[in-house]
Amino acid sequence: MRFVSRSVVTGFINALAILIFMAQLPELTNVSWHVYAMTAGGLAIIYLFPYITKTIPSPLVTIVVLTAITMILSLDIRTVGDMGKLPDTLPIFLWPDVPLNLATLWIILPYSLSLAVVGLLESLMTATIIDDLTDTVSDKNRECKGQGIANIGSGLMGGMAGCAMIGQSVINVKSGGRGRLSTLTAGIFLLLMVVFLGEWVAKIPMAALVAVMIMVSISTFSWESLRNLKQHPKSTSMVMIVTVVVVVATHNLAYGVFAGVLLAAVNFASKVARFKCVTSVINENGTMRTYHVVGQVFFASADKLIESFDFKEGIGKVVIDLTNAHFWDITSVGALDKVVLRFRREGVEVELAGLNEASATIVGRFAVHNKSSYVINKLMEH
Amino acid sequence: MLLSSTRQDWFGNIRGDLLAGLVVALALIPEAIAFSIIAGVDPKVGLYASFCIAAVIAFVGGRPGMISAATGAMALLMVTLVVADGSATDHCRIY
Repeated sequence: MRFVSRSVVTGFINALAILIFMAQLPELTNVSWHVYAMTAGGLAIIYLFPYITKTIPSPLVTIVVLTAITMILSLDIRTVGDMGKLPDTLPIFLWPDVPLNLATLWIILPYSLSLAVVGLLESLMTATIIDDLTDTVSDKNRECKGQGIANIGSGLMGGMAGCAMIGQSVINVKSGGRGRLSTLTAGIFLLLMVVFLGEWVAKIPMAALVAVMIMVSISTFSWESLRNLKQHPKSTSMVMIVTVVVVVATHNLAYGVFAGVLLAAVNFASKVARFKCVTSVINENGTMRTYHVVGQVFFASADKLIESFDFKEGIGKVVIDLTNAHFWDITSVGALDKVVLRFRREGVEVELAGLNEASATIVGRFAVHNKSSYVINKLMEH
Repeated sequence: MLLSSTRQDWFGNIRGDLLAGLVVALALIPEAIAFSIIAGVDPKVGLYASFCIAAVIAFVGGRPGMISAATGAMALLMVTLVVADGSATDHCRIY
């Protein structure tokens, strides 16, 4: 989670909003004008009703009104009942009726992995948003384990996979919910209403749900991020856009987040690599040059380090002052080796000065320029 | 210390929690149905899932007041599995 930057999170949320919207399109193609009118009316109620009162949630009003209109005018449009029979019984515990063998495992494994990644990612991001909203802290480790247990429970009760919901959690907090009781109440009320009022739920027109989902999609999308595109540095905006594009193209939130994190990491590395500079001074009688290396030396900046020395100057002694440099990896140590060995090949005496403790450890362990002359000769042949 | 914070998590805000829970339940129903339809499964799959996940996470979750249920992001991931294997009820049969 620590590697998921702000722009990746924004990209993730925007992509989610776009996907939710795209998922509504099948309900809006090849249908009569009634459906468009109903959807538009539903959106109007959702956005205008809060001006009248906020005590009743407006999506609920939309559903009730549109269902009533459909029933009164006996419109022939798709309803929830057309989608499948609603349950009229309480869920019961049972073991999934699948053959427990490797073939089953290979079918479900890729799906379960991406479900786990996306579920945890979305849950942790939602938890962070709720932490901010309520000014409290949460136990992220416990939340991760909890999501696992809850999803196993859902599977055993015949349900599908799920995770934390940004929209609903925000509705909960804004409606005054703070404790665990609110989550439990939501679940139990949901089941009671579906099982005992299922007859009515089946009559809800799909247009009402499409309107609700379009609202969810619009409110999920971070419109602020579009304004920020101009102000934020190009690399940051790029990370956001790449995350969105990859998700929308692959329909997989995990791929998008991965691409975003990768790009952000590369950006960071190239930014840090740019901080390096080498300056040099020559002493009065022109026999000794002192190079000052400043910055982070690692795989991305190692080549640049080698290029900054003048090996053919024909000078007697070179001091490389590393007081303000940090060597991070074996690529950078290798580069230092190359520099030292190349100077020696030109007959220049080299002295390293001011290596900091962490760099000294890695240089001491991996560098060869200070090891036996046999190795050096071997290397210098190349 | 631990016990008192558990009590605070559960019963620190009874009235607010019950009302908010009702609002969320009402908002969850259409979403759970819609997400089931996105995933290409029976509405009850999403509804049962939302009930189970919300009820279980209330006890084992790490963020009090956060709602977990069947979600669009997860539903989208399962589309190809459901399409490829006919019906999700093959995988989570409830009879």
